[in-house]
Amino acid sequence: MDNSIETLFAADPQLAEAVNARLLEKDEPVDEHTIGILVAESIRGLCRETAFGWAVGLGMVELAGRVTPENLIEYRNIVRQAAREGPTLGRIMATHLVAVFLHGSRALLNHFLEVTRIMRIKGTYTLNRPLEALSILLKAGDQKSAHAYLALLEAAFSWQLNYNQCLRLASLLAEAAAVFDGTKRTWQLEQLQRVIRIDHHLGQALLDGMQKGVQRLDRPALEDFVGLGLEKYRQRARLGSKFFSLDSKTGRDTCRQMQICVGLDEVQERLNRYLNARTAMPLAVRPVSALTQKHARVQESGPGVCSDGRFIYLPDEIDTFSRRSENLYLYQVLTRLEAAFYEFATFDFDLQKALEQSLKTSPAKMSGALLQNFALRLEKIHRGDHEAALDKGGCDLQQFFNLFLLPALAADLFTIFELARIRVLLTQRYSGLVQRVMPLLHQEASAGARKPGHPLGALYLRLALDMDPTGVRGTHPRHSAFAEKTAALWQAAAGSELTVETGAVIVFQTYFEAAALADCPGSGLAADGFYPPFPAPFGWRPRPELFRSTEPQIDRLAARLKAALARRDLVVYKSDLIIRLRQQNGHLDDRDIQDLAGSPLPPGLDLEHLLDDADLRSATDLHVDAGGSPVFWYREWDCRLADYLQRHVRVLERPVQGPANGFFRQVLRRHRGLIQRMRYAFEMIKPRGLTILRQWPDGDEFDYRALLDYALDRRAGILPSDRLYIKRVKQRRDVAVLLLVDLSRSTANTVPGSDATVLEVEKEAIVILTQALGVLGDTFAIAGFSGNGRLGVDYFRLKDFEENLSDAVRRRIGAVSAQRNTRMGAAVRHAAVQLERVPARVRLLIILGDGFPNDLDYKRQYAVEDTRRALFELKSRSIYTHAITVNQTADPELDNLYGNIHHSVISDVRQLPDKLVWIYGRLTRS
Amino acid sequence: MASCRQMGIGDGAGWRAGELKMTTTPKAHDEAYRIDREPYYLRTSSEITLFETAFHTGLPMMLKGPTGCGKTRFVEYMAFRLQRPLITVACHEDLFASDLIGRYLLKDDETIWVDGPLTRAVRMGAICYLDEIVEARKDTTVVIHPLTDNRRMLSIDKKGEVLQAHPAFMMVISYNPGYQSVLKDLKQSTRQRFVSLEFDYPPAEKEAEIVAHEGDIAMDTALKLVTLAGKIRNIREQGLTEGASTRLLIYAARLIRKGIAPEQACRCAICLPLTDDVRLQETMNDLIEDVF
Ligand SMILES: Nc1ncnc2c1ncn2[C@@H]1O[C@H](COP(=O)(O)OP(=O)(O)O)[C@@H](O)[C@H]1O
Ligand SMILES: [Mg+2]
Repeated sequence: MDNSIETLFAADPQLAEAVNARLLEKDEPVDEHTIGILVAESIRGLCRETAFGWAVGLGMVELAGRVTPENLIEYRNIVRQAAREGPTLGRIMATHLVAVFLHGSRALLNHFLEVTRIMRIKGTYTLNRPLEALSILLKAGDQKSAHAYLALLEAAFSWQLNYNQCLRLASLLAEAAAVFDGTKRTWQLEQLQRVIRIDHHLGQALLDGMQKGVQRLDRPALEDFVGLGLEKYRQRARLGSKFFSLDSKTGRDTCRQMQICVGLDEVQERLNRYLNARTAMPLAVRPVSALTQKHARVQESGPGVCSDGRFIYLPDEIDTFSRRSENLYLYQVLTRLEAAFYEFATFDFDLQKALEQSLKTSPAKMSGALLQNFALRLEKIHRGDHEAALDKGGCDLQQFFNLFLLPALAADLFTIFELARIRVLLTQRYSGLVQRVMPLLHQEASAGARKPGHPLGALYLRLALDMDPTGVRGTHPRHSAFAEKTAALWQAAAGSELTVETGAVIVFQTYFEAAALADCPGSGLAADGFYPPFPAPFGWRPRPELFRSTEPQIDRLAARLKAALARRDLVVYKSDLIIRLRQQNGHLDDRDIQDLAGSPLPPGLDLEHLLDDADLRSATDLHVDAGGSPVFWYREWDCRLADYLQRHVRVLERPVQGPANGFFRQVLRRHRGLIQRMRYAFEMIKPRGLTILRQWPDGDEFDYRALLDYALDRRAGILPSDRLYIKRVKQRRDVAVLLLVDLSRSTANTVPGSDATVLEVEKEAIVILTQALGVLGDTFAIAGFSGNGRLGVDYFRLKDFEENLSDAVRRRIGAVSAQRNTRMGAAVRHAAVQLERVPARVRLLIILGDGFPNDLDYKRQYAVEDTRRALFELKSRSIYTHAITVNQTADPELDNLYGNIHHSVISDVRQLPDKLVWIYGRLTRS
Repeated sequence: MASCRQMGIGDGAGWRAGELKMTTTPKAHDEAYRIDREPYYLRTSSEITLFETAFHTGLPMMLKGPTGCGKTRFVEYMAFRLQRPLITVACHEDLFASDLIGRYLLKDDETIWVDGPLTRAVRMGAICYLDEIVEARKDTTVVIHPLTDNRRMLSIDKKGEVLQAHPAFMMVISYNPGYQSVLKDLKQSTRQRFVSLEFDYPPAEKEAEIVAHEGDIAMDTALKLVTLAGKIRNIREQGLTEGASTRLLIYAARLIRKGIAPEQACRCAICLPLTDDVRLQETMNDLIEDVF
């Protein structure tokens, strides 16, 4: 029989194609004999079942040339033997033996065969998923874990199991191998095995626990934890199981106490609150794994930090230290350090200022090229060509670095000077922070110094850390000499005025010397012009390449204005414009320009026109079918015209019909405790439920003060008043409240750390609030809104004022779901109309949202201004408003939108159910 | 920053400083209400001029602002500066009209009339400061209405007497808009009788100077306290409706002055009074650690 590849072509051309392709990829040609075996065996397989033949063909081609011929024969024999029990088993073995032969030892193979024998007794169906997982472990080169995993399979499948149990275990164990973390996997698998040996039901429990915190335990701690759990199990099986899954309090507490490694999710909220307070900016932390850019890698090794203007990226977990508190502290330190760039406005760096100041400092001794570069660029800026450069060259800092031949060297120098500036500022304001953080930086820096000294290492120590570098190991005397000299230069410059541009000036002055230093043979650097960047401790340095302004439209506006003014020979710095624009929410007037430029606005320059953001005017009218819904028209405030657009927005009242759902009831049940507490508290808010009327003509008690007056008047011969009683009357709160819920798309996002969406949590809070309102007896309505474009604002009436909390209402609340955009102004206006219809002394609109208004051509400032305008309209109609924003960090822009005392921010939406009632209570206490 | 807004008031009673006749008030009567040592007050803006102008024009004044930012101190200072007695009433929900105006009392078989603080102020030409006016009952607030328009009179129904206010009488109320209860807002009819001055925490440098002076501590420690307060005032999350007030900073300064460790002083004088929320306290503790 001819066993060339052509034969295979006749049998299954596609398989032959695939095999051939793989043969061609091999570094060395595969011998004819081997190919003969491969072809013969594949065809044999194909005769049994196509899939089996494929598995054999692909398996053997994978092995061919990479294992000995004997191994290949052994592979063939094992597969053949397995196939006697059926082609399915044959296929599974043919597929998964490959990794065993390629990456495993003889012992592993034997172990593999033994375990699969045991599993086969339970059924072939148990094999597939666990063996897939095994192959992945082996391909990752983790033989130790592979052994542990096989032992685990063996332990699990040695139990007496029914079909369903087998199936569950197979998928559970496959999942375990996938979720366990690389470095910890082996002993985590071992501990899982230990548990499963006692009772296979416990496997699931431990795996659940693993996803909630147990995965962070180190080896001895995990061993102890499992030991304790098994002890519990022996006392009572259920207790043990709950312990492992962290469903019991003891389990949680034990795990927390043992845990040394800290995960970001555990400290995230705290860090965010801190950032908020420290910088008053909408900054938040994120795990570094969420950072997609490749170049964003923070550090070669060890924990580090970086940020992009919106988020500060921190390690997913930290286990650097052997004490949990220290690991936690490292998170805080990294956050505090990075926050400094924002508090002290590193990214407000202004290229023009930097260039001008640089050129002012004795350019005589400078070499021509750089000087020319600087001068040219400055001239461009003066001409007003800056705008074009902005998009190409990145932010100002990057553009500055790119003026140098070695941008990375310029960046390093600048970094060190900037860190020095930050050190000085921190020392002035945060002595506690400096005392605590500096030692850590020292430590990290001297750990770095053990590697061959970087030419800027000494300068870093000297300036960024204010340390004497001379004694430090690995420091070249030339490096320290340069550090000394440069430090003196910096100190002289810093003495007068310390801005972020000061650093740039010194970069300009020291760049050539530093470049020479980097090239010097003793530095251990390549002399071919390649400059390896300085490894800053913790990767803590400004990262302009990551930085994205949170308000790009403001930056663009500033660039445009700047260019327009420059063309008229007015010198205004872009950074000054940006800062002013930020303060004034995108508005400037003639006086501002006068202020910044020192001369009045030249005639013929239309500021209004320049400020008119073109992005706002991509007017696309949408035709939304009203579909028979009641239609209402409202005006909208156009801040560009400073006027209303009449009949501009169409609000459609949409019906909500939900199927019967248990949502409402479930929430009531789930929050039983909270509702009880809340009811109690609200009974208290209702002040005794009674008002005391003094000096009343009738009543149940005498009014002591009136009685006294009575006696006095009689004595004085005055006709006494007969209003001598106290009357208690039931107090009427007489409040009507409408809760308006933003149903925009973003509310469909899941809440970190749970499966629930933002809207689901909001709905829970609403359910609880309805209970509070019931206690207080306030009239209330609930509505949702969303929509798409100005002709399609949807308004969903979930509960009307006169409606009871009927089943239909409950159903609607349960059924309502996230929709599209938020054209807030119109929704607020429509809600106001509803509120005005109810007779009540106090009317209150509560807006529950998760961000800023946003819709088609309803963005940013335009949207904010219209919404604000709508709120003003309400105020003038004596309707109080209060907005609650969830899932956002506090943002000054929110103050601006709602007025600073009329809104609350709840960054962690999970707190909403608790807080909503509380806010309501405070808002309406009497 | 103090800003002045005049709210719907016609020409006040035309009394000018020069026309004041002190003889109408027996000296002994108002002595108890005189402020004889100059209170320490650091001006933050043009509030002094505005107050003086209102005083000389016979206009009532409303001081708006968060608690502990210097409103009371300012009134004390102005009373001293204008050499007028000052009568302060802290308002609360059980404050009746008669508590302000006065009542008959029994004494040795005789009924005698005793003026309430408001009546006393109206007679002697004092500055009457109603602190936290929203806390008072709504029906009580009404009695000040005739005093705060151009009638400038107080009617004492019990005695059947109508008092014309002394030319130097001035009504000052304080109002904290941070109180968010919609049921407790100040009525428009009351609001619109006052010239308003808006108070806020002083700018950092000035606030530090105040804290250093009042707490008798070094300027750099005072600056740290003010930095801390600035950060805490950034936390506008639920539960912290008002930031750390100047008053709390002074308390902390005094504790530090007496040798309490700064961290602890801040915790006792600033964090704990501000909130019961453990998470917010955690954040404040983080900030304290940074600063000290
Ligand atoms: N501008 C200021 N000048 C001097 N002291 C001030 C000033 N502002 C605040 N203070 C200090 O703050 C403390 C609290 O002010 P206070 O007038 O009682 O506040 P408020 O009446 O606004 O609640 C005062 O005792 C005073 O020591
Ligand atoms: Mg006060």
